[in-house]
Amino acid sequence: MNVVARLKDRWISWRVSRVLKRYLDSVRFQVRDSIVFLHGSAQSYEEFLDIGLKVGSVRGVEGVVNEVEWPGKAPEGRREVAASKALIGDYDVVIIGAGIIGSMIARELSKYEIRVALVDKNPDVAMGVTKANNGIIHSGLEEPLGKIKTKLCVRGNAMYDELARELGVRFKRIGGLWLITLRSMPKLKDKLPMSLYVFMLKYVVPLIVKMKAMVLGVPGVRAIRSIDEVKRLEPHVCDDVVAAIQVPTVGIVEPYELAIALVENAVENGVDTFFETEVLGFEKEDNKVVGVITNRGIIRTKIVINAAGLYADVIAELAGAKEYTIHPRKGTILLFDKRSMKYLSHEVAEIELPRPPRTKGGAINPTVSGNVMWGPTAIEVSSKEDTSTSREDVELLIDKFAKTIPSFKGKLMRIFAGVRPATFNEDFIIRPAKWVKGFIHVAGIQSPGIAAAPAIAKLVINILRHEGIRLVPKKNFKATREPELRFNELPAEKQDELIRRNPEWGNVVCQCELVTEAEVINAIERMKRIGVKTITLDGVKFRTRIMMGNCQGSFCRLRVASIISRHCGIDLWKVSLRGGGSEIGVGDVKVLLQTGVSKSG
Amino acid sequence: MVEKLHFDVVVLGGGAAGLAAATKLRELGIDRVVVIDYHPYVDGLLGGILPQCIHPGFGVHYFREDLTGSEFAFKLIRRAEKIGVEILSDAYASKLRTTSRTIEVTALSRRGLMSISSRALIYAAGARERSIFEIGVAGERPSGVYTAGEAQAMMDLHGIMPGREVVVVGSGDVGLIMARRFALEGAVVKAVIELMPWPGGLTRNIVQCLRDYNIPLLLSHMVTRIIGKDRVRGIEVVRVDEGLRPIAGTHKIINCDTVIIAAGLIPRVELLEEAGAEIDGATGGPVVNDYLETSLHNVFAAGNSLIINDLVDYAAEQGEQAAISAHYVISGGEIPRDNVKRVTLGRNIRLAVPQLLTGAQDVIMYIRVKRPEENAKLVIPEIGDEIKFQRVRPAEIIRVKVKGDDIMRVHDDKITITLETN
Repeated sequence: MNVVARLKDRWISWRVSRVLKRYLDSVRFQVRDSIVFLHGSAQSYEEFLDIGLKVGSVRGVEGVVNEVEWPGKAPEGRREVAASKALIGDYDVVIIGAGIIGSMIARELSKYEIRVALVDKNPDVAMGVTKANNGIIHSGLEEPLGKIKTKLCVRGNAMYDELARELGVRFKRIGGLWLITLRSMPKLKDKLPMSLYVFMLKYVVPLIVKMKAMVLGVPGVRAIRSIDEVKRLEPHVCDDVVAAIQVPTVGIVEPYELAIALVENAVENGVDTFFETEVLGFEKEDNKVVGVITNRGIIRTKIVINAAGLYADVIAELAGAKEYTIHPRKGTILLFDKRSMKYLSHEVAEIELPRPPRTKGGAINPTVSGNVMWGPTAIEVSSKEDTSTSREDVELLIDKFAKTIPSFKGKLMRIFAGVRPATFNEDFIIRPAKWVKGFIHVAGIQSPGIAAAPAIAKLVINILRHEGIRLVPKKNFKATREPELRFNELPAEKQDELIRRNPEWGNVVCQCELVTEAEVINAIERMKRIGVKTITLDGVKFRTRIMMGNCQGSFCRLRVASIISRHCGIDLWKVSLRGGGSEIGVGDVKVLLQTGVSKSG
Repeated sequence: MVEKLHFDVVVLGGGAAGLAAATKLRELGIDRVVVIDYHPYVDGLLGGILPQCIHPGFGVHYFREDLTGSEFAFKLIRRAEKIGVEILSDAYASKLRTTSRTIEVTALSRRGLMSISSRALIYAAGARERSIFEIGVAGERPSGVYTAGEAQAMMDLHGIMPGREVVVVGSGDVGLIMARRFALEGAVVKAVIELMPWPGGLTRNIVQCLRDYNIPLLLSHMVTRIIGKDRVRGIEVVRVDEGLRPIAGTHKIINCDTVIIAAGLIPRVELLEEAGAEIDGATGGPVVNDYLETSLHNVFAAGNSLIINDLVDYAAEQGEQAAISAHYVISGGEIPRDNVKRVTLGRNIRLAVPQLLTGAQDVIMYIRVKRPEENAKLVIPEIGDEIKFQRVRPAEIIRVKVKGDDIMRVHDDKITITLETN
């Protein structure tokens, strides 16, 4: 280890011992190559988080491995999956995780003459962090200065127009309209005379925001001091708005639609996929990763890219590259029906200064499919699988945004939650592993991960070059992808023409979203084409919008299941929501009378 | 080329109300009547939700015999076919546009897109079931949560069993009937959960569907959360006080693998709403006058898209009334537009249909109360009508006739319906 690194570790040790002062009775730490390892015990999960975040905030810390115990910590709930020794593939690069990040990297790599495999334990693309995201392509302006994520967000945002055009995915630069209201500087509100407070809000806050935009290179940011203009842009926002910041680069996508399109394009350009393939370990030679051990067999590779989302830390540990701990941060989102669109056209949020630590309550925004979303919240949870919603979270969102948009009368249609893979240093970790060769971390990609994703993929390409992977551009790379037809977005003449060519276009399966049988069959075929083995209801849902309307599937779920059953040759009751264990039924209708309640199935 | 069709009357929806309406129109001598129906479940059989209702309790008033839902549908369809109703099945009406002179429906089927114009339209598109999110249940989102109608379709149309251990949320008739249906197939029905302190369904169903099968009914209980990642593992319930607020410390978890949501129906009025019809917040259906005409000219409503009925017979009756009105207007009749009185809801009245009264004819009113009450008296003070009831219950529609002449005599612009204690 060189002298500089040793000195840096010393400095980090000193700083860590300062920030952990009140915990040092029960918590020990080591520092190695700017990674801090924490051991010992905490009183509660909150303390565990506090310890991790305090250490993560120390300058120069590149990763926090937090193994501090807390009372009530659940034992590691990893399922026992048997590894297979069969060789199932030989690649240059294996990407673990088919979320938005893994998909983006796969597609970027498919531009080059190299053999790439994309591996995911789920039956389909985007079934983890990606699917429960509000789809905002952030500008980067709300991110803190000096972080990698901030830079990548600004850069990634600028790449979206071309990306969306090439892939034929829906992307709209709706723009952000961030309100400055009397609630915007709660700490100053009671300390200053009202007129001065309003002056601060109207002139000083916009100035601060605009200066930050200049530093970050976020284009087009504009302060609006005329309340009339704010109201003209968004007529339904609160009356105590003082000014607003317009951020034209803010956009929206459907994250799963994008991830699916990326994988479709990547597969068309030669990437292989391995779904329902769980990584159980790594084969190494001379401290270099040479193979990925999975439940289905061994995949040989020159390099592994770890884009495993919430489980990136687990995967890294399997490779001997334990450099960070992912702590799950839940976000609850309220989804409103399509009639709510009349209340909103921008991403609307209230500015709060100074920014409350870590939480971002989210925003309200329209989606590309024409719904309105409120959220997400940002609540620390101890389980990576905890995507449950609670009344408290729902009330929190309603309280918050009912102030922002008091005349909103949208109908709440669905409540859902996702979990973000946060690291303790609150930044992306994108770099080669420190002590193992052939392993690249792309971890801790939480918000603004989707906005940053195209720039992340470019960065990974540079890292690969640096690691000695030869990247020769493919001559026959096909950049564009034919977008799927969405019946309800087509003009009547085109609809009629489609039906006359194929009557399946005339058979409405989902009434709420007007999705036809042809679209369901297309979705199934597209899933098969990218290597999906288990056709799930969720897979068809994310591709077609079935079950996403007002009835939430009560009219169409069975019709879709019947089509899947027919096309895949499986029993109707075995069709599942999202893979094994989530089948819609337990057997034939007489099964319980024949075999009893407990034994059947 | 989008196919263009013209009919005298278009009926949207081939359930009880729609089929009864179409048949009546033909009986009244209207030439070209078409029923447009998207039947989601079984090819070739109309009747809306009826074909999957294999239990009895249908048609005692309308056909004067106790039938199953499937039999009721079968009778309606045969009668309609016999009298020459045209049926455009497998077709989905995706748009409704009206002006003061024209009515145009866009429908799509395997044949292509159709633009269908008519002189009058009867909207009988039925209802949909309230989803788990609409009743505010939080928690996880696993497989195994179904609405009652969907579970019924699984079992009685598709022949598959949704689960083994079941909790039913909601004690309306639909919930009660599904609890029994599950018990009959050998499933263990752990409980029926009801938020209110009284059951939502008819007394005969409490006895025949729950008591006979020893299924517990938990009144004043709220479902707070669903548990289970891939498949339901249980639900959490809590007792509520009179204000329907959860009582601390009364949470408990019931293990089950299936949750059936039977939390009521919502009229399907999307097309009417998009076309600009006025919607009643209390019924969820359109505001109609005593001709069952919506605020859209010559567009009439009937059945569960007008008001959630507890008896199929009422839906059919509304269909016939709508048919008589449609016949009246296309034969040159004028619906009075002046001195129309608005029905206002008095004490313990939750909803009433029609909402507007012209007084030009006698009218059947369908009324629901908010709370059960004994020895009550339904009063229309402006008219002086009084009808005594031994008991009224939210589960049962009160059906009363009001004379047109009486309405005419009222000078006020409103007519109040209220409940008084005896």
